[in-house]
Amino acid sequence: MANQPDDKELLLQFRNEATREVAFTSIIKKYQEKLYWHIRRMVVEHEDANDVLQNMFIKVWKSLDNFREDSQLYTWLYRIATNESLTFLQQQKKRSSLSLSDDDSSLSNRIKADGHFDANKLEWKLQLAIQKLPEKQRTVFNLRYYDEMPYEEMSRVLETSEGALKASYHHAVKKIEEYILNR
Amino acid sequence: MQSNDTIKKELKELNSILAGIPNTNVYRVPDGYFDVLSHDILLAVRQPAKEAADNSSVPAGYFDGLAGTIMGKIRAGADEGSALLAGLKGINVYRVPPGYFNNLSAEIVNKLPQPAKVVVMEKRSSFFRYAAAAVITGIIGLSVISVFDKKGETGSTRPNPEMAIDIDKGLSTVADQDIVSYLQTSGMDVNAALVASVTDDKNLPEQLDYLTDDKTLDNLLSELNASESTNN
Repeated sequence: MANQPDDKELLLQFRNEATREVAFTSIIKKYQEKLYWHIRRMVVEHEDANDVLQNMFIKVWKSLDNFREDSQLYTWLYRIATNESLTFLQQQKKRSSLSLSDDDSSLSNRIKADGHFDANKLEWKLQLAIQKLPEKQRTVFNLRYYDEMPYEEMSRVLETSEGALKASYHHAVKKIEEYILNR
Repeated sequence: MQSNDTIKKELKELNSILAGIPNTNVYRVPDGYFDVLSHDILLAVRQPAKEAADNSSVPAGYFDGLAGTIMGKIRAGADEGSALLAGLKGINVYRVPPGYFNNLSAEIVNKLPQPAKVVVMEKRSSFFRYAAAAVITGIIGLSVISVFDKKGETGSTRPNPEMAIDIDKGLSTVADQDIVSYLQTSGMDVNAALVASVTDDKNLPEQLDYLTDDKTLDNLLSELNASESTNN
């Protein structure tokens, strides 16, 4: 990893037709796991996460030439991944014609359907609690708690003020505690 | 990214039980998933370009023999233009679905706008026509009369109380003999006029009185004569 070119170098290589695919492969390998887990925590199932991740990278391929480097590459990728995940959830909601609460329970059911699910383990209860959160709060909590993203970066990804993000995160923590303690 | 310690510290400041929960990943991915992911994505990225290339391809060796084929057709004909066109004339590059022309006329006819339905009216006898004309003429005539009657009521023939008072005053100054001679010259019954003038203020007998008593009219006339004589 230490000898890997930085994002600026990768972007330069991508704009060169001869090194375009090599550069893109490097970008995928560099960010695939972080982005996959971010998406997976949102959509829960692996197949859905894989579809969203691949579609997201295809969009990145098409629009990377227009990336103006106003923000860092990983911030831009996180923003696309978040939007794609939320869009996927919205589409699923429409497809199944379920209300928001029904859809939450549907995500909870998917967690329970996981082969490794253990209702007695606190970490699985935590996952159920996270899926009960509204989409925005869930995104903020996941980016902070799992991806350990600073509020400053998160502000660029979600295009929301740092203060609002802190408030959102604190609300999410309280709701999760309440859920875990009452189950 | 910030360290896990920073997040834990923040949770402790919030007095949250989450600070005590291990930040572990409960989900799993298939073995070797991340090893092939970039390859799969690149395949997906290349796929549209490959499909576009496949669609625009021509049979192998097509361009190699094309010039020779065309030149052979040109040489076969006497005229350059007609030879080329003659060679292409019988070739139809387009296709239609099987049986297309068999059903074409029927399909077109079915799509034609339907003519409006013609309703034939039965022949009526001339008697009804004349009767209808007479009824309409009658209604129009009655309407005209009704309108003129209403105008007459609201017009000059309606008695004006003020005018009647003026006439009475005027007549009181005229001598009786003058009135009698006016009535005689204008051909009116003087006696009837006199009776009418003296009965204005009288209560005349009811119609039933004439039926029950034959002398009712005589009594009335003698009474009128008596009052006339006393007035004079």
